[in-house]
Amino acid sequence: MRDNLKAIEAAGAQLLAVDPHESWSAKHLLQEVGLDTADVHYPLLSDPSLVVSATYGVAFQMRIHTELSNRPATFIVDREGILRYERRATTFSDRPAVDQVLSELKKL
Amino acid sequence: MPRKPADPDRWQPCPPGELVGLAGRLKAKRRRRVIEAALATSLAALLMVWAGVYFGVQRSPQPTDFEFGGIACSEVRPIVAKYMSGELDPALAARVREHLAHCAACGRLMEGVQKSVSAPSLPPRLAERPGVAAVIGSRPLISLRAVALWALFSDAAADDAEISPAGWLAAFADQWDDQRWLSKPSGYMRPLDDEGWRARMRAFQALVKAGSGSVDPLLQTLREGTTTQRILAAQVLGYLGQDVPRQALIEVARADSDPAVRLYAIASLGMLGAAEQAALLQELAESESNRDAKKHIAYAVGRNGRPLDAMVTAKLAGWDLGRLDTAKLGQAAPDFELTSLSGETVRLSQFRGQKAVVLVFVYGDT
Repeated sequence: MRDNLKAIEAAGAQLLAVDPHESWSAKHLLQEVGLDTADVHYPLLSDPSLVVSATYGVAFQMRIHTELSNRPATFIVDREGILRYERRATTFSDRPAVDQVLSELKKL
Repeated sequence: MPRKPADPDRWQPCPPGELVGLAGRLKAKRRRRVIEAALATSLAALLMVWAGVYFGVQRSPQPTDFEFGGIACSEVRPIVAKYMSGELDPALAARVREHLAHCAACGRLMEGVQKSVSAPSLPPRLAERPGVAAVIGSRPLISLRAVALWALFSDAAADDAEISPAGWLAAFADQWDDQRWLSKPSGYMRPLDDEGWRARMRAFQALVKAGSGSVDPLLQTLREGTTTQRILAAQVLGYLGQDVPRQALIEVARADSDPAVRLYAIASLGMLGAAEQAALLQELAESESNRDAKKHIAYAVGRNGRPLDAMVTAKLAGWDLGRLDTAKLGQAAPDFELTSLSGETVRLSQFRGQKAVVLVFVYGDT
């Protein structure tokens, strides 16, 4: 993950992650796996009102075991603020490889 | 007044209404709302709709009359056509709108009539609504039922406040098909063209927005609703703060037959602030068998009584529903402002002119 982040940063891009839970919940999860918030080197944004998740069309679209959550999705926004790439997962592990993200960033 | 949850199998068409008595009332009520005006069709089309409704009713062997929105099927049927063309006064139109949102039988009749309104005749504000384009794009003609549903949910159509919390719960249940998942059982995912999540988000926001007015209908849903409705009800209650009686959620967390309902009841107890409930949570942890619900008990304990930030509820209630699903390729990415784990406020637009952004939505494991 750290290497992927570095590669994205080297390509001149900013990584932002959005989690639908309250921020203390993410902290709790990190602690469970022995990490600290300082170990997260990109903004992990909290969207408990789900309004950003709904705006981006991912809210309530996945059931992870028993809980409803966001459909995993990756978007690329160019320097002018235009949405240039999207990948909305159709399976649990459906996400672009970092190479794919880097090649999309190169196209901008 | 909360209503019993809709059971689609029980719906049956209504008997023919008494048209004559209503005619006088209708004449006096002319002015229409923006969306309803757009639904106007020719007089000939109206007569066909009317005739379709009338004959549809004639064929019905065992008519049943339901009351929704304070108006019965037998009263709605004769004036559906006038409703579609926006000739009813706003108060009556609102009752008909709510009735149609709940009444599968009346909805089916409208659908059966299939007197179509072509897409170009939609008013710009409706045509621009997210989701409407998809409906139009998927077929050249859009059914009156579809237009009515969009009109119902369009902020241009009417004040959502006209729809009761029970109405939102019924509308949600009508549109959320819990069989609609692409993959099972470990990673459930809705299909990409799923409409159910939109209904869920609309109902979620409307119920939170209604605040204390939602509490009683939600509690009744927890007692009597379907599993699908109980899950939503349990989730929404966590956003309603002080108005929510904890005891009802505790009972659900203890005894509901569905683990997802228990999970959301537990999560909502935590969101309401559960410091004094440490012993209760401990007791729940011992009796709870579902792994995820158990985890949520641990989260609730981990909050140390910290309730949901009131700003979260305010943000949800104040959100513009028109922004639903508006991230489209080639267009400006919808701006947002969120807080990071480290407490920093991040705006998408702060990177404009400087950096591209890779925006990743994660589900955040339970």
